[in-house]
Amino acid sequence: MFGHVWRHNAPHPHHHRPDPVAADALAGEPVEDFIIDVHSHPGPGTNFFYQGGGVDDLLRVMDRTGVDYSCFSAYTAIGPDFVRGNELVAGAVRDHPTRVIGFAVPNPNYPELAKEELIRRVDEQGFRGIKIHSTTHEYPIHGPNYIPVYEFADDHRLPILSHTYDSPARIRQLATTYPNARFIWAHAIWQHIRTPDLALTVRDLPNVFCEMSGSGNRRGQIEAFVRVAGVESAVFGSDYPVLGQTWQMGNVAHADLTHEEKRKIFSENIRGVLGL
Amino acid sequence: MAVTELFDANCAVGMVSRPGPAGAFLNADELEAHQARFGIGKALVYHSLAVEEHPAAGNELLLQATESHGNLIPSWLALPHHTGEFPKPARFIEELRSAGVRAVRIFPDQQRFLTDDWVSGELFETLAGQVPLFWHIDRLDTPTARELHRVSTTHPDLQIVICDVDKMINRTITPLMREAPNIWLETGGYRTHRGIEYLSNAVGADRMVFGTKLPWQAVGPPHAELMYADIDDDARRAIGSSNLDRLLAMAAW
Repeated sequence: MFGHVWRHNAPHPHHHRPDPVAADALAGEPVEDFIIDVHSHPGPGTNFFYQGGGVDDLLRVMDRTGVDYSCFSAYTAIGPDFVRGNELVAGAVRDHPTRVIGFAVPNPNYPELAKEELIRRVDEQGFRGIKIHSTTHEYPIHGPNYIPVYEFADDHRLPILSHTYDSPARIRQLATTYPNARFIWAHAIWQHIRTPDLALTVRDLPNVFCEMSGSGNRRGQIEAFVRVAGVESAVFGSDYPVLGQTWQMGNVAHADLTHEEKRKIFSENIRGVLGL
Repeated sequence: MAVTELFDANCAVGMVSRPGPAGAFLNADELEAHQARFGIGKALVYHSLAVEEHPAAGNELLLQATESHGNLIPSWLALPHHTGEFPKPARFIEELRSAGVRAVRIFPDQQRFLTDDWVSGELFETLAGQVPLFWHIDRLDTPTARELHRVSTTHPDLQIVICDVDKMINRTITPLMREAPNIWLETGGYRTHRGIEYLSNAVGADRMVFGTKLPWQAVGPPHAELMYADIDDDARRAIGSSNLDRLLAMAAW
């Protein structure tokens, strides 16, 4: 790209020297650290348009940003057809096992089929996580049809990525009821501003992580979350292509955190959970 | 790559009621120092009190805040004149000229006025061909999009930069910008997968200007959207700075 001249010419005050991650992002170069994006949805937008969105397109964006692995759950799976969506991801895992981690989606409105899907995708096809979407499936995360999902995750020690704006009390209840499951709360870091109890709650829950994707991008919000919850509670997730992976790359790369803290967010906190 | 600096089309100086955890920029030095971290060498700035208190107060404070800061280019907020709280457009444009202010902003949603011609038409007609208008929106929803289309076609010489857009707007912004060649997009809120690349192809890289929405929003995300976009260096330079230079050059003073 065009980064090298920029990297050396960019006017930085002497008191602020960018770390290697920020320097890469300033230049538009792939970030060299090992990076896992825990939140992405291959497939066309179901109710709005973005260019691309297919598996190859998402991989191409990963090449540009420097993301090594992305956790895929198909857009159509969190929408109308979770079987079709899981099948799309199975193909991506099969074709790109060193870039794609499959997260199986169960729709709790089809409980029998959902259980079959989890068994097939995880036990037979190597998916390493579960994605639930209580909003689009319009089913509460504490509803009875999710209990087999949580039990499955607990038995298999799997991460569950959940789009939810539920209360910190609900998060604590699930995390302590299913201690072998790992809960990744999507969009939670920007929620921290409106719900400060969230960071206080997850701080004491070793099987809970929060990611930063979403529409709120207040200046300093990641740093504020880390100060309260501890950096071990934060993981990198972009929700791309619904949003931009590049957008969240900039959010983390330029956060006022140390390089070591960024490394933890980018991969070290979640790497073991995903078996990498 | 010959990119030398970025020009931020959308940022504010001054105290704000609801800053993020990192706070606001209480003076020009603080704003400039933060922007320098990202290679932002120039900024088209307004004063936070112009939107959160009143344009008359904020516009005056802006000139004080940016005095002796040549890389902070002042932009003033405008209101319709009917209530007597703001000058008539003919006088307002003389004040712009006298102060050397080359850009005008409106926040019709936040400041509760209509953009119909019986309310704002005289302002639009006065600015047309003279000064670019930065139109800050809450959302690109149906009535807002229809109004942007109506104003841009009714006043074809009025250059309108849509500011503070959000995600999921491609199905609206694409035909809007194709229909109205006098509509531009400020990219600070355009958080869309490959969005800048897409719009560069769909309507042209010459129709976008880089913005940050400081102090409310972090710079990193919109900066990364521009830097990682799969566009050529000329297009990146245009969006990053030269389009805004070109836009501001229309004001002869």
